[in-house]
Amino acid sequence: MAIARALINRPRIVICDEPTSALDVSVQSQILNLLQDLREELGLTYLVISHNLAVVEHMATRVAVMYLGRIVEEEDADTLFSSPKHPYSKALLESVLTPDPSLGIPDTHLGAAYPNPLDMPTGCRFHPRCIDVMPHCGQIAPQKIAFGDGHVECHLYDENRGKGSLAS
Amino acid sequence: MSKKIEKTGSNRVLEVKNLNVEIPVPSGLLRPVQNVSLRVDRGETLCIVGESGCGKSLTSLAIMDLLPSKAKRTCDEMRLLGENVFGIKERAMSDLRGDRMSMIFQEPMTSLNPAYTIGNQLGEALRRHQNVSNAEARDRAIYLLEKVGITAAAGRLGQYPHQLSGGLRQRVMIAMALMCGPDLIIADEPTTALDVTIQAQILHLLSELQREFHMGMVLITHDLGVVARIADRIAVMYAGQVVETGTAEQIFNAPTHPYTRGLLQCIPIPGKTKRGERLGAIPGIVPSLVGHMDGCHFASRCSEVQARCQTGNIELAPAKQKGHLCRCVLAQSGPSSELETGEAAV
Ligand SMILES: Nc1ncnc2c1ncn2[C@@H]1O[C@H](COP(=O)(O)OP(=O)(O)OP(=O)(O)O)[C@@H](O)[C@H]1O
Ligand code: SF4
Ligand SMILES: [Mg+2]
Repeated sequence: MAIARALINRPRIVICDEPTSALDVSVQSQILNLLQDLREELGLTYLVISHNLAVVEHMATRVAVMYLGRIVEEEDADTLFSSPKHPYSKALLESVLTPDPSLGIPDTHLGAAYPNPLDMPTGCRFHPRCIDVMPHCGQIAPQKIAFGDGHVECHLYDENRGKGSLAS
Repeated sequence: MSKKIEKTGSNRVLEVKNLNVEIPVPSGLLRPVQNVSLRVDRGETLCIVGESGCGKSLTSLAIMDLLPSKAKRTCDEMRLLGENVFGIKERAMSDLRGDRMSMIFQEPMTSLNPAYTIGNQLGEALRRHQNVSNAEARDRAIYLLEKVGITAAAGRLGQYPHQLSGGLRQRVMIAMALMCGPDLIIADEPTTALDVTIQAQILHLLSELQREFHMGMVLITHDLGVVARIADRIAVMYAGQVVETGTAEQIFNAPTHPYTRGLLQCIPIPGKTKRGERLGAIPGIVPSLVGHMDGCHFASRCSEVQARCQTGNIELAPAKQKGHLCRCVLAQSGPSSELETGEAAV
């Protein structure tokens, strides 16, 4: 129903905010199939907002990773899922629990506390939880650094000081 | 550290046989839990998985004797550490609750009182059951808060629940559930409301603590990824019944009930399902559980339904391997069944 209503005026872009988050998997799969079919039939573009990485990987062609209000990394989906750059993106991908009974619960080594958004950390907003944190991360906010057709905001990839590699 | 009541006997922490719950509703008698049997051994994690409304929470509440007052439960057997706990006095039950068995809810604020400090509530959880001094209770609280990954734990004792983030509150809940060193822990969707990275952290923690303290754990979730990663054994519920049970390997590598197989085909699996590929579906809707239902509860949605599925009571019966049980006529037709050829793997 909600999908039909969104399509009444023949839009070209449809924003789907957590299209399946509250749903059971059997309903989720029906919605995802429907969204895919409509995308093809009507030539739609979707902006999907989701915290379900399996759904994102299934649907997306491009992905922007957000943390505390900032896009910390953006690129095409293949690049993100095969070689995430930002430490938060890496932790996020590690946290995805694929249904594989031979694997356990991963230890992402992330700091525990999700910060209070009203009391934003200084410097890089992710620094209190980051496993690669460097002394200046808490002071200086990282700038957008371009690579390929994407970008990342993280001091690891700073030209001089950084120790991360952007080669994919 | 607190003293621990030594219990002798077997490794079986929980044994439930044929649990039923009935709730009168305007349209008749709702039967949300029907003949559910479960067992959990020490050090073992049993996951109850199933879609919304299948009766997972009511099953756990029935075990804890915390059902809404109009609900009625019956069962053939309910044993905690070998001792009967069904129909015992509320007084005796509340002595067990929080002490030998504790529960972690999805929403921590259902168990945390906003008016008391963390230290107060943790301490009280222990002092209710054990004769310890304030200082001992405080030490245990700090020890457990640190165990659940809360830094500067002593400083947190004076804080109120609303001063903590959701992930921290859930950690406090876990610490609280562990205060008395329970033998059984029942966690109902403990991470569903949390961020993905926090969810992984909390689950990692739960499974470590469960191993370290050698508890039996019942984890309720609808997330198959969580189930695969954490469960030793699994009970799949559909419409009030356990339709399949077995080890995690049996359920994920050789799912036998058409509902379990359908569920596993519905989820996108990174690396397995191709991007944009159509996912499997289970058409139809869950049947009403008001009144008596004849035959298989899944019959109205099953792609393999047969005439004999519609009548009688279909039992949970042994499937291929030891310990693997399935409630489906196809799995019960013996070794000649097509299921035996192993076509079911997902
Ligand atoms: N207090 C109540 N009165 C009447 N019906 C109830 C009550 N509590 C639960 N039910 C019904 O019993 C059924 C099973 O509920 P239960 O809460 O156990 O489901 P669940 O498997 O935990 O679902 P979810 O995944 O959504 O938590 C549902 O159909 C629900 O609507
Ligand atoms: S008993 Fe029949 S309807 Fe039920 S799951 Fe098996 S084949 Fe399907
Ligand atoms: Mg529930």
